[in-house]
Amino acid sequence: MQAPAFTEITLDQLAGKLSSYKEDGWRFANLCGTTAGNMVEILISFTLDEKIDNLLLFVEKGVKVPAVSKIFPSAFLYENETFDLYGVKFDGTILDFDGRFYITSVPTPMNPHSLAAEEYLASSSDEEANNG
Amino acid sequence: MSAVTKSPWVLHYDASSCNGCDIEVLAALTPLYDLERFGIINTGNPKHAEVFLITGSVNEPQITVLRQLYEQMLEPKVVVACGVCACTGGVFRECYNTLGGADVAIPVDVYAPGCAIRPEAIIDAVVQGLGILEEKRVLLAAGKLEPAEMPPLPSAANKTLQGRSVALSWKDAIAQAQESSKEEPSEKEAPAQEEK
Amino acid sequence: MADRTIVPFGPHHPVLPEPLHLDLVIEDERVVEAIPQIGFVHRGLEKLVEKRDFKSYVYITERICGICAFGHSLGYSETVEALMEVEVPPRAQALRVIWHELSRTHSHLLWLGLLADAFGFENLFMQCWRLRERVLDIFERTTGGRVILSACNVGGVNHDIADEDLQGIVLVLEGMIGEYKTLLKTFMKDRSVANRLRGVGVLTKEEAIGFGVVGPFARASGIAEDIRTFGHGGYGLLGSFEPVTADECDGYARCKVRGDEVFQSIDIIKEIIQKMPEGEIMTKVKGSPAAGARAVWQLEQPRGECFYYAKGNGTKFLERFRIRTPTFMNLGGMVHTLQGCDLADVPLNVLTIDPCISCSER
Repeated sequence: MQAPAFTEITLDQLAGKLSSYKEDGWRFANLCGTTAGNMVEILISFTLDEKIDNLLLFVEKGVKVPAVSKIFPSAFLYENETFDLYGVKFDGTILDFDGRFYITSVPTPMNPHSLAAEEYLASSSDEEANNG
Repeated sequence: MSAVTKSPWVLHYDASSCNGCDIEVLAALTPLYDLERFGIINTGNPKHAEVFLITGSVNEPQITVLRQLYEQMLEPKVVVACGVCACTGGVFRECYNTLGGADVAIPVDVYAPGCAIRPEAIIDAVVQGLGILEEKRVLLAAGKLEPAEMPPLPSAANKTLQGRSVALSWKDAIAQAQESSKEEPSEKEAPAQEEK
Repeated sequence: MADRTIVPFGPHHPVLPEPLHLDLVIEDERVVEAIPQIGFVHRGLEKLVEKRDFKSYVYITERICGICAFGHSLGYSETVEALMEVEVPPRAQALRVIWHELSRTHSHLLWLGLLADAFGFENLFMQCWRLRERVLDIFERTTGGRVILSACNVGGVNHDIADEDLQGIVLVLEGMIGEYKTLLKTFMKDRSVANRLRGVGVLTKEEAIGFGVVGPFARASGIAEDIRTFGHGGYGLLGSFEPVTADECDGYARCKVRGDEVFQSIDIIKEIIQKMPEGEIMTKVKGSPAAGARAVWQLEQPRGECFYYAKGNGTKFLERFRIRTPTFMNLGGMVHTLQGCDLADVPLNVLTIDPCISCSER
């Protein structure tokens, strides 16, 4: 069995890679986020028969990523989920729930460094200061 | 014993459950455990049901749904929380989106633990619920049945409590990240200045 | 142009086993658009990796979904074993395959029952679940649990199955085959069932490839893809394995694929029991996942291909564990099949993907 490949790419290389995978007939398998320090590491996985190729994209706070769902339509669910849990916005996702996909009690629960998390911390510390 | 207690109809709703307890509830109604021989039918209509079986823990969107279903049921009614997730939140109690068991949203009469609950325990819980149902029916006939008190909606304070535990974990993570960045100042500051 | 109405479907509905909300825009009984809203089962358990070390987390992954419980604990164990490069003894791998295929059998029988209930054939639902109880008896005898098994762990399995129990499993499964054939004949040949299933929820092969759907949903549209062909773990013991496919691309085809997969699972179990290796059942796992180590793993669960990703950070807590379930992949295809269908066929379309919303939302 071939070991799965993990390749780190930058934001501008993304569109090229996606089109080449689509042309060669790879199947889109996964898109998920992980908090890595101040950034969010986005993992995009593709499979073809037994091979698994993984792309790693490190995204900073507030940066928008071009949508994967324009090329692989079933990715729209993953993009909405990553926005809800990590605060990473995908530009042009085909069905956009705009933050209401998972109605979480707390904004971006998996990522402490996102813009929404900072606002929440600021507002809740104001509340604590007011409540004394 | 009355017609209501001798043939209670059951409304089953899956709150944020893993489905383990749900399939055991359905297994209690199918042949082998066969609750239907006691006249218990699984109905989908809350207005036809006396016993409300809830499985699974409760998160925020579920509170409205559970309250709507509960309020549509007619008195006398009994709520049975099946499975440990419906009792207290179970294994997922510490998750950020779990507010707790079913008693966060509606008043519960019988708590039946188990993960996943066994059909024998469901039958036992329903039978105990029937005893409570009979008491309520008698009170209703005498005009003395008071509606059970609904638990308070998660207030801003409650939500902040939920959010506070996550926010505290964020604060730890941010503090840790700041400490590790202080340890290597030269490497990290130079690229940051370039990007700005 | 006819007037459009919006009918809300779910989260509570007698035919739905789980809460799922769809806003159906209908024009005279025909669905024009279906907008899904999930989020009712989201518990947020992927964040629990920070609080439960990697050996205890397997008990959380089991409870992601009660129907595919063993599948998730198996996928988690195999991913962490790939992350830490642990070798699992062959007997443990074979036992895992037996429990996983039994899990597939019980899941498909459950689905067949729910499908029958969805179009009103309640007697058939009762018969399918009655037959399913025999598989649950096997689970109870070998692991102690009917639904949540707690049999798999990182490094191997927790329980062994004695030889007479293995022979007993073969006898029970062979005893089921006759009754199961009668049940399946009703699904395949009965005219009223065919009226409800044929031509419902058509997803052509090109559309299926475009949406990237997995599992029996894809195999019913003619795509012959199944992770078990790669021979990971105990599946390497099998002589030959061909995925079951069908060409009709509609609800009838999906029913046929799942129905035939039960026969295939019973054959796999019998073959593995014949070739059962001797030896230990658990390798002791020492240490923690290395910092920066990453692993991905695929597993063919009853609903399709499940994709796992694990990342270590040097401590006994994993940095990240991601479960990408088959239903999450199939939801896009499901929303597509709902467009243009009749209002009465909406529950059937939702059920033919074998939805496991609690798996998808974790």
